[in-house]
Amino acid sequence: MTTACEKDLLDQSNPNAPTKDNFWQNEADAVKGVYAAYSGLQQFAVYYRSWHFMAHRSDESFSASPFVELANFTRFIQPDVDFFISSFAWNDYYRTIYRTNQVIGRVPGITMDETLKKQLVAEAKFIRALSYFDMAYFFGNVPLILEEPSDVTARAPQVTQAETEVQMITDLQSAIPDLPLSYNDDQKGRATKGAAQALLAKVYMQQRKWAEASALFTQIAASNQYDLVPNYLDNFTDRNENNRESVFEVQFTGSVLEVGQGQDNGSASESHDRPNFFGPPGPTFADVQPRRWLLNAYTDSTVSFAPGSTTRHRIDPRRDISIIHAGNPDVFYGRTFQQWNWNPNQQYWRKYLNDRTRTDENFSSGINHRVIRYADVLLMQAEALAQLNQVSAALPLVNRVRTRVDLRPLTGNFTRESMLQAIYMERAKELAGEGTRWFDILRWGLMDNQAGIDELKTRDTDFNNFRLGVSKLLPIPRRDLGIDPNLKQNPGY
Amino acid sequence: MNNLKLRASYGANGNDAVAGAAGGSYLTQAIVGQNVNYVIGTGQNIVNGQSQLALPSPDIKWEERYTTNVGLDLGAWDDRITLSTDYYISKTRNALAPVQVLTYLGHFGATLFQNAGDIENRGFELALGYHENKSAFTYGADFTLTTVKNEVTSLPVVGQVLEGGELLTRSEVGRSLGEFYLIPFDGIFQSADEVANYRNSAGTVIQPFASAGDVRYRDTNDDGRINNSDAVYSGKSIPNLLMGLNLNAAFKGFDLSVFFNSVSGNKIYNQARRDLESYAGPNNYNADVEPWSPENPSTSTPRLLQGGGSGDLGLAAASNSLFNTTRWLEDGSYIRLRNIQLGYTLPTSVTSKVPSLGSIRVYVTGRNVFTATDYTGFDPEITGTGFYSRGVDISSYPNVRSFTGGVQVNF
Repeated sequence: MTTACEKDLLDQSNPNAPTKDNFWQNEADAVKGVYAAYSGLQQFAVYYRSWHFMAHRSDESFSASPFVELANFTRFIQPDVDFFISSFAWNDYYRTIYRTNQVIGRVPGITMDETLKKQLVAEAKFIRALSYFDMAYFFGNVPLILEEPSDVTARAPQVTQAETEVQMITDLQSAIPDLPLSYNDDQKGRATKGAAQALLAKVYMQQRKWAEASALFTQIAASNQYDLVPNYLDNFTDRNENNRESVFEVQFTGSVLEVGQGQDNGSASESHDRPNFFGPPGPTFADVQPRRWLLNAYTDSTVSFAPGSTTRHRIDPRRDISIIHAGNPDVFYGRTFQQWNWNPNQQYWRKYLNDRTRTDENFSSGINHRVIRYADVLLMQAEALAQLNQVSAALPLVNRVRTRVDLRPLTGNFTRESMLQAIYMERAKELAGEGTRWFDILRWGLMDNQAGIDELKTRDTDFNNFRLGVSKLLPIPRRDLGIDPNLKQNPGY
Repeated sequence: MNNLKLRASYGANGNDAVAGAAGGSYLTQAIVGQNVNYVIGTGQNIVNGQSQLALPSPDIKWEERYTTNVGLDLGAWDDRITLSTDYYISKTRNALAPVQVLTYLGHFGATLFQNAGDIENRGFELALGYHENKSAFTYGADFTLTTVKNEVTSLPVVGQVLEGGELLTRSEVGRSLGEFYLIPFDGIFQSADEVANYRNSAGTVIQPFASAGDVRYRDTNDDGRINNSDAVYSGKSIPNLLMGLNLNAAFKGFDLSVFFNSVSGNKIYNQARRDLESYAGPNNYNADVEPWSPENPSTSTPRLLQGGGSGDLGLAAASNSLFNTTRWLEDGSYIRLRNIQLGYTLPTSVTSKVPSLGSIRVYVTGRNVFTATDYTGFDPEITGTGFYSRGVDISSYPNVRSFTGGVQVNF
């Protein structure tokens, strides 16, 4: 004999595995949701690995990797639109966005401390804006999804870069008032008001809205939260992280080993992978190296776009912190350049390496990635002011960055144009290898016309393969194009 | 004629066999991930984060299969000749399939079980036999033939295309499940003139970076360049004709049986050959590679050009090593001598001398003795790599050829 039962008796919830409908109940759940959203930034194809390869397609870097598809990726040769660096990035960025959308959609309904509630939603909006920032400038025309999908049939409209910018601005403007100026030591690393202001200013910079950007930089300076740290090196190691110069860092610790792509769902990876690929051969895979012009720029004033360079009273100390080369006398992973028998005609990235504390790299570096640091903010403010023809206001900001590393201040009469050129050069040297340069050459319009490409070619022959109107954007992975007939591939792929 | 039967049948059954871990597991609920952790604070402490990571399959149900059969059975000449024919239509409704999920929804994992659509198989089956077993020399032959026309008849979203198998195949309404979708390989450029003259209708040189010895692809959309938009449907992975022939004979204690089967009309993507011959990186090549050279103007294998060069050389190498092209697609048809067995049963006059001994038969068997195929991979009888990509050969372990001998003793 069988008896009937209520149908919903069959829908039992597992007490060991909360579901979306019985999670999101209290303050603790809300905080965990936000941590999960931050954790999205650690994913394989976000700041753990792919971001760096995507950002290093710029003219400061090149790849001689024996992994030919990878080297070709940095040379703007990507016959396979689904090559994993870019296609995994598409996956992982949207996974991060999914987590932020859950927080933004669910946390307002929780009964909890109102100030903290607002702050948590604002943090999620910051992370969402940061994710869309990279998506907008790497992929261009991306689906704008702002809510957790009801089910697998959900679809989002594909929008232009400009429309994504509007959304980033909306998110950041609403986040800024609700974010704190700073956190206690045990909470450092979370998004601050200054971080959101700086990211918003970066969006305005990309839009070439100099006045709007400059106003925000002014507010950041007035907040009195940020300064340059005395030791330039403190921006690139795991000592002295989240310091006064740090505006926003993605947090990593080297104590947990990598488990693979997108694995932040179980025994999560909390470590950083960049140094394993961006260093010298032997201790690292040496997949990405700096271009020679950049090494020379620290000593050679004949680099074509550096009319602002002055004579130095000694070698720019940023050179040997940024780049391993035959003339760098330091010890790397226990040996000198000559002891390693590296090719003296080659140069390798040094920033973010653990070469002072380890004998080689593995997949678990603990060094935080500095997404925005105050030197970048100062130089962006200088650029915005110079663009606004306020050359005399721009100059001291550049000199503040220079004098921190004992360089002689720039002096003399600058025009708007020569000031800008000096700022561009200073950015190249100060932020070398940090990945900001992709967004810089994008903002400077160098990838928009043949003259710009020709200039980039003089520094990086990879740009011989650059196709105007095509290579500026990465291809959208084919899978989504097949499933969503309204999604269109970027031009030329 | 001693038997004539007209048959018709209709049946419906259900199937809940989802593939996957633990014999077919899937998320029934929107589970929240428990260890989505982050690092916070000056001490760089790990803090626990939680979030929903994967979309569930909350309402999936059994797929239903409706089979309609019309057939004719015929026996003649004391059942020496038997014939059985069928026309069948098998409709699978709400097929349970691992459907690829839009990545931008943020779903962790590539696929999700869904009742994804309707699939139809229809075709003709024939079994023709001739058996002579009324004399001392008995012999017989059975021939079977099956035609298959597989078609996806509906998908959840109009216009939807399901990509599969490293994006080598597509499934869409009106097509067979998992058809190959590739850029057509169009031979090898034999001269610089051929490169210069290979233009689209607007006069654009289609592969300007190429030299003699490089692969030529067809610019199917006539846009003057080769890319994924040039991919076209290039063949089915499901065969449209399957045949079997079983022959047997016996005389005075000797028995012989032979079984052939064949498959035709399907294509196989030879991934092993792609890996060995695409020269994409500094990997192993096959020993007998015969690249194009002026002295050896191959029409199928390009010049030996390792990837990674700069400028035109780099572009040509990348182009030559494209993976989603018909260069790696081969005809999957084959005829195989699947089984041959020769046996001899000792006469009862010998075996009856031993009490309680029934019979003794000695035999030798050969399996997979012989295969006629144009397929260059290990084995045209492949298992494929999944629901949408059964025609992708990742060099799975081939069927072995074996010869066995045995003695069968009955007591």
